[in-house]
Order: sequence, then structure tokens, then C-alpha cells
Amino acid sequence: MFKNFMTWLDARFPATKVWNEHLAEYYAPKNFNFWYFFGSLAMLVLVNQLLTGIWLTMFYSPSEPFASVEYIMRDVEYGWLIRYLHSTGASAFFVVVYLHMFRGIMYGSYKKPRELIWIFGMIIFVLLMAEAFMGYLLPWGQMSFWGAQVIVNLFGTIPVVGPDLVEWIRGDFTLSLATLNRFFALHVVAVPLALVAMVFLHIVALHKVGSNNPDGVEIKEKKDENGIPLDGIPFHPYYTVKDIVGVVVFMMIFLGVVFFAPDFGGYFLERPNFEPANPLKTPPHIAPVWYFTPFYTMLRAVPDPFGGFIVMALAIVILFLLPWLDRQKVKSIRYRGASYKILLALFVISFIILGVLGVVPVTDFTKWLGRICTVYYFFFFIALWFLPKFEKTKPVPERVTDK
Amino acid sequence: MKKLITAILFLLPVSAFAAGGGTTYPNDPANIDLSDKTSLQNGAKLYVNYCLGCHSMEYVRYSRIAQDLELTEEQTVNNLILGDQKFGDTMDKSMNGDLAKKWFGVDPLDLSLAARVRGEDWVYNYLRSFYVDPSRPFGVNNTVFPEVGMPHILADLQGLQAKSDELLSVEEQIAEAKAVLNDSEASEEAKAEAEEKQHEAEAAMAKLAAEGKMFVQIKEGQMTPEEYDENIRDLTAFMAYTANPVKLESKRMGVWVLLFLFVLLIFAYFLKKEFWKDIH
Repeated sequence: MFKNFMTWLDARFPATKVWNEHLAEYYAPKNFNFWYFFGSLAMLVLVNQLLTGIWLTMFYSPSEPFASVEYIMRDVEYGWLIRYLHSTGASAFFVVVYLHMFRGIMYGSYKKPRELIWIFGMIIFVLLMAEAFMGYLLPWGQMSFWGAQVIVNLFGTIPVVGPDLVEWIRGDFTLSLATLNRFFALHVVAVPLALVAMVFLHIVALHKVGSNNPDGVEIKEKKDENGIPLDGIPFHPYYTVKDIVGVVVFMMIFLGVVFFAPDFGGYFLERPNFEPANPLKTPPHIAPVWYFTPFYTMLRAVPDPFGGFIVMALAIVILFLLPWLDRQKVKSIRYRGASYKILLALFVISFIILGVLGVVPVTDFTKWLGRICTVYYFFFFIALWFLPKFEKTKPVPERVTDK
Repeated sequence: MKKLITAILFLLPVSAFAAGGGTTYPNDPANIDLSDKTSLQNGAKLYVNYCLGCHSMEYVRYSRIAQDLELTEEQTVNNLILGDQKFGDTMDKSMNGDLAKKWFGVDPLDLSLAARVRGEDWVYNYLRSFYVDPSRPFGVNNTVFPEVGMPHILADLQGLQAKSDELLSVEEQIAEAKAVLNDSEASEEAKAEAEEKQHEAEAAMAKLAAEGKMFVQIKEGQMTPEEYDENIRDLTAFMAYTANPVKLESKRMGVWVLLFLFVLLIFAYFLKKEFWKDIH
């Protein structure tokens, strides 16, 4: 019965073909470690955001934003749960995406032939930032309003066209419900569509060339008589059952936050955001949500606002160029020299410092620390270009290793 | 290395928000108990009797309070609904907002979410820190919210208190130190000395607050100071409840969810182990 149905279906739609190519006969390296959970977790969080987002849209009203959020939190059955899943999901998205990107850097997963996967991934990252930024305006709290005010006004620092551009973005002479309405449209329709499309391309490109692994060895170079990579195992069932373990552990942490600390000490939901937006009252301390803080510190590190804006934009642009800036042929950190390991460790530390500095008030000390870390951020990428000349790499094995 | 990074990640951000804004005194912990229905009911009664005249809770429904605080509809209608409002209505203030603007200069805030914006401890300390200050329009000021625009509405319960001599002398020391620090002509030595003095005075202030010696009672109220604090704790608990009415339910549900996931994890782990036993 099922067989007949599949024959009928396969004659009209490549169901079995797609299943095999992307799951049952998609060969992934057998040595994936902890860091390889975050790709599938990012997909999980994306689905969570889409589903909870659809339900929030059923009750949210852009003409009464703050009140409708409180309506969801109080009068809608389990509205609070849907809302906390969505707000915590936003932060979780950045947690898994940052770890996913770090994995890519650590194991050289952006190097030939995977440059395009990295580019698609970076586009997803930029879209995600836009999505999160516009979504944060929607509760229309004090931080929503003033955070958006700061970011939108950044475009005003662009010479000549700046002021007109800001007006065009806001759709009004001040940040108002007109702005919120367009952000709402972009947040619930335009950007999610683009995100889903880019995630699709990200995975299509990945499945064309195959996954990298912690050894940075191309498993397709060593195949058995049937053309199956010797170090490859079918994604399904091996990695599906493994990812289920990762998903359950992730859910324990994620739902732990959702049920027990959805504010996360003011980092996921900021205190002033429980006060309705008031254009006449500036909060004493405007801090962006944690996932933007590294870039916010770079913005503040430059005395000139337009200069800061450029530096912040370049910090993103330079990430796109990573596959061509890192000229080292050896992919994985396991076989790269000590110089690279030190460079990368300092990069991680400086990025975390940049993040912390974005939420604390500015003092002379933090200003200079921020500048040093900003300079180091760019130094890291430039150093990668020159590193192969000095770096003492280790021999890369022929096959993947066990640990 | 990995461990070190994780450690840094978890340690650093904890106090970031605490760094913003100065500490106000007193800063006693509110120690509220959201599961104590009697305390919440008393808080609701106090809110309705003393606060709701001016401060609405426009997102909070009487019917929801009844449900969460274990009150019958009859009890709610008889005790909590003072005007002509209905059981299913949200808590409107009795005062007209436009008139309030004329009388007070501002339309008093909606307090549905106040405890979530300011924090429970802030609310608890604020309501205990009104003191007599003839220079203010309503004759009172507040150490937690200086230049407060509101009268001491609970004065008949608390009575009136004034700043103690110890507090006045500590405040004077801080003001003197600040004057030196802000003086552009002061020498580096004087500034260093003033800074030290300021730290000492602030420590003395914290000590006074901890010992409850900031204020002296100058007029008796209907309640003893202990009774008053207890009632303010109930009021704070009620406001914490209205700010986040699902807190208890969320935790109760969370325990079951985590238990379920824990069991699922055991199955998921052995499933993975079974499938992977032939991979070497």
C-alpha cells in the first residue's frame, strides 16, 4: 500500500530522491563533535520563532502595541508562554548562531570549496540582525523606542543623504507608530521569507560539497568501491538520533530560561521595556540587547559618529571576506600552528570584552579598552592574510581521526 | 582554554546593570512570598484603598485577581471593587486624568507593571521612606525617590518620620566631599581626601540603613513600624504579582517540563548509543 503510494508519488515528485540525497544517503563525516550540534539547533530555533511568531501575530496589534503585548501576557490563554518562547528564542538564536560561526572559523569550514556556504551564512546573520532589531521595536517599551531611535539615527550620520534617509526609514519626522507598522510588516513577512530562502540555499550549497569536520579532511577523496566515502555515515539515522540528544539538552537549557528566568536578569527582556515608549523621557542608560553589544561598542569606540558607523559596518563586511583573507590551506585548528591558536583565542576574548563593554556605562577605561579590542578585531583578519608565511602547521592526516 | 572562556562568559555580565544608577537608601530586601495568598489579598486591599484612587492598573482584571488570589466573585465585588466597575473590568482609577494633571502637574502613572520596571525591593523601600520636608509642596520628600511629586498617602498608617540626626550629618559629609570633588580649583590632595571621606560617609549611610536608623518617628500612626513594614511587604507582593501574574504558574509548569525532558534525554541517549555501536 505504502509502496504503491510512493511509486505513484515518485513518478510525480522527487520525494524518495530528496529524502535519499539529503538524509538517508547524505554522507556526513563520522567524527562530528559537540560544535556540530549548533547548525541543526539553529534550524530548531528558526522553526520555534516562526511558529510562536505566527501565534503572536494573531493577537498583537500594531496600533496598540504595548497594550496588545500585555493582553497577550495576561488575557490570551498561554499567551505568556508563546511570548516568552519567542523573546527567549531571539536570544537563543544568536547564542547558537554565534557558536555555529565560531565552529566554522575554528575548523576552517569557509575554505575552498565551501566559500559560498559561508557567504550564504553571513547573509543569514545580517538578516537575523535586521529581524531581531525590528522585532525589538514591536513591544513599544522604552528600550524598544530609544534603542531603535539610536540605531535609526545612525543612518543620519551619513553625509548629504543622511537626514532624508532617516526620514525615509521612519516614514515620519519622528520615530512613531508609522515606523512601527513598517517594521512589523518587515519583521513578520519580508525578512522571515528571505531568511527561510537563505537557509534553504545554505543547506543546498552544503549538501553539494559535503560537510567539513573537526579534522578538516575532505572525506570525499577516499571512497569505497560503491562510491561511498570511507569516513562518511548516512546523516539519517546516525546524525538524526545524535541530534535528538543535542535537541533535548538544548531544550532543557532553553525551556529552563523560558519558565524560570525569561528576563534573564534584564539581558533578554530589559527592565525599562516594561514601561510604555515615551518620546519625552530618555532612559538614563540605553543599552542594546546583548547580541548587538560587540558591534555597539565598536560604534562607540570611534569619536566621530559617522566614523563609528563605518567601523561597525566594516566589522560585518570583513566577515564576508573571511574565505579569501585566510590563505592557509590547512583547515582545522587541530593542525594549525600555535600562532593561529593564540590569535583566535585573543579574538574570542576581545569579542567577549566588546560585548560586555556594550552594556556597561562608558568610562575612560572602558572607552580605551573598547578601542583596543576594536583594533584587535580588525587586526585578526589582516593577520590571517599574512599568517601562512610564519605559521608552523602540523601534517594533516589522510583520514579523519577518532578524537 | 574552553573552560576559561566559559567561566568568563558566565561571570562578567552579572553585575553590568547594577552598575547603572546609584544606590538609594534604605535598600532592605522585600522578601515577598507570592505563594502566600493572605499576604497578596491584604496587598490587594491596601492597593484598592490607598493607591487605586490615583494609580490605575489598566492591564489587570478584577476577575483575574479573584482567580489567582482565591477570592469568590462576591468577596471581590464587595471588597475590591469600590466604584461602579464590573467583575470582568480592568482596574481603573477613580480620578480623572485631566484634572490630575491640573492638580499634580502629571497624570499619575499606571502601576500594572511598576514592580517589574523598578524592582520589588525598590517599591518596598520607596513606600517606607517618606519623610517630613516642609520645602516640598505636600510637606514630604523621599530618600529613595528624591523630589517625589506625590503626597505620603499612607501617613495615617505609618505616621510621620523625619531624617535622624545621624543621617543628616552623614548627608552633610557627602555634600561637603562632593563640593570639593566638583571644585575645579581644589588641589589633587584635597580631592583624594574628599574622595576617601565620601566613601567613608557612604559606608556610614549603608550602615545606618541596615540598622534602620535613618529616620525617627515624629508622629504616631495607626500601625507600629513593624506592622507597617509587614503591610508594605504585602502591598509590594501584590504589585509584584500584578506585574507578572504568571510567575508561579510558569515555575510550576517548568518543573514538569524539565522532568519530562530529563526522561526523554535518557531514551534519546540510549537510542543514539544503540545506533552508533557499529561506528568506529
